[in-house]
Amino acid sequence: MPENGTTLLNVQHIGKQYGDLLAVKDATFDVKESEFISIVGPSGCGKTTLLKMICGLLEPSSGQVTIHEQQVTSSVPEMVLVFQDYSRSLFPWLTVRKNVLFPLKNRSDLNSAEKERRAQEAIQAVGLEDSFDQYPWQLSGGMQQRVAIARAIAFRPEILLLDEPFASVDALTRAELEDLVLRLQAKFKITVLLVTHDIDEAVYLADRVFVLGPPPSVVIRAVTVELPSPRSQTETRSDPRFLEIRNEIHDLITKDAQDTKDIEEENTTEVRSSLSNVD
Amino acid sequence: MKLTRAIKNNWSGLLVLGLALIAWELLAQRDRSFFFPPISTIFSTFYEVWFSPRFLEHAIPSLGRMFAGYLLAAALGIVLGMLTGSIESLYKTLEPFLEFMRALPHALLIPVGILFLGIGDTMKVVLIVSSVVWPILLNSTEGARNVSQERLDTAANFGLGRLEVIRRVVFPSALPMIFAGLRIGLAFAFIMVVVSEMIGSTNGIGYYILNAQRTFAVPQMFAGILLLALLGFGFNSLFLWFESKVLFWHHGETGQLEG
Repeated sequence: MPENGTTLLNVQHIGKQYGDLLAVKDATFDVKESEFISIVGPSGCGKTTLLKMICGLLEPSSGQVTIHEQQVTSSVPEMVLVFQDYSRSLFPWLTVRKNVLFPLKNRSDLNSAEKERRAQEAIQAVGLEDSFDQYPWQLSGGMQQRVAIARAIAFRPEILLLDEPFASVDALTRAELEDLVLRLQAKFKITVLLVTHDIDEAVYLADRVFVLGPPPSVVIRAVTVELPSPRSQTETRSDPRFLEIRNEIHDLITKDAQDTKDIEEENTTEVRSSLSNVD
Repeated sequence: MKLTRAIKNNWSGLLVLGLALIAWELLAQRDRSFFFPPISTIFSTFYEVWFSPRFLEHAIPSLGRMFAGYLLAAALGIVLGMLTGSIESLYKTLEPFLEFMRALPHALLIPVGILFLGIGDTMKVVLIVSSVVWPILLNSTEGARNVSQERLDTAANFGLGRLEVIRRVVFPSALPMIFAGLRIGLAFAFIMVVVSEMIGSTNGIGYYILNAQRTFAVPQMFAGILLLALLGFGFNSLFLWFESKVLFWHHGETGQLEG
């Protein structure tokens, strides 16, 4: 459990400025080994920017990210990001198997049998063993996102970063994928950072939830989720403690929105409309 | 099977073609003009002219020049296009020049080519390359520039080097655009080989057609034109078949795959 784990990732005062636009103001937090972290916040509060900075795809304007006490300056093999838009991140000219093999191809430390084995294991772990030789565009949205997750898993990162991975699938598929990610986390002993605007999803999955304020984002609170594992879609979600945490986070975001109302009228309405989506 | 289905699907097009040929035949029979031979005469002349060593003498050199020029231009255009499309500073530097070259009517290059290279095969191949390379280069560049950020981020995230990103992500992503350029280039190659043979050559289909016209061998001239039309049609069909094999995933992705 997170309380006594060792710190794996350290994010210190990172911010991102695009010209005049301050996308992320100041984010600071630690992530421990094997922890499941949800980052929740209103739409357009720079969550994607935050993830991209953490995994080294985007250079922060200020602050720094370290993993194993090494500063992250470009992509590192310890972290893989799964994008929200699977249809754009999967390669349509490759089969499921070859998509998953894609990141392993230039790894000289693995022989081809090992690469195949890893790809197979990852594809089986996401339940797509029947779709090995199909192309992504022949699969449903939920299955495509499974391929993207399998591709990330096959690379064996220590941290899996998920950027609203279930935002574009239907509710049932979404619940399935949530449980899949929980199983994968247990099976591969992976640390997960998941970004979402769905408070229920954030609480259901995580050991800790980081609540982001309206843009420019700052982490306004880290909420520890003390709910029994393994989680269950029916039991966990009807647990009184689940509702309590969920309401607490909801109030945090709403209150923050109230506070900024006088300062920036426009932002507030945006936050409210996005909150009404997640209720 | 495939042929009967193709006929079934295109019966209206074939009907128009058939009616046009019949109309030509009837009008020519009635007119009996020296410059307007009936289609039946053209067909029989076609057989006499091209099912003979003349095919080797004229058609083979034309095809050889065309393909040498086309393949060279394709290789050059695709490789350079990947680079200009992937490297922003290179793109900014070269873009005005590329747009200028594209806008230039390529037949204008023929006198320049003859001036510097004479009337040999080198001149013709160079002319074909200098005409065909632009649509391929510009389309490849455009294709490379339009790769989605998610794909590039995915590749970078997995630690791919710059050249690897180009080879494994940018190039395949750009293939639909590259093929569009290759198809325009194929038509350009045909035009350039014929025109260059008409202006400076001692063999080739273009030379044969112009020579037939100058010696008032009218059915032979039409037989040459017919050969060009058939070759053009044939290569275009072959090209489309090849494209559908290579780009099946693109047609599948965009929902145009035939069942």
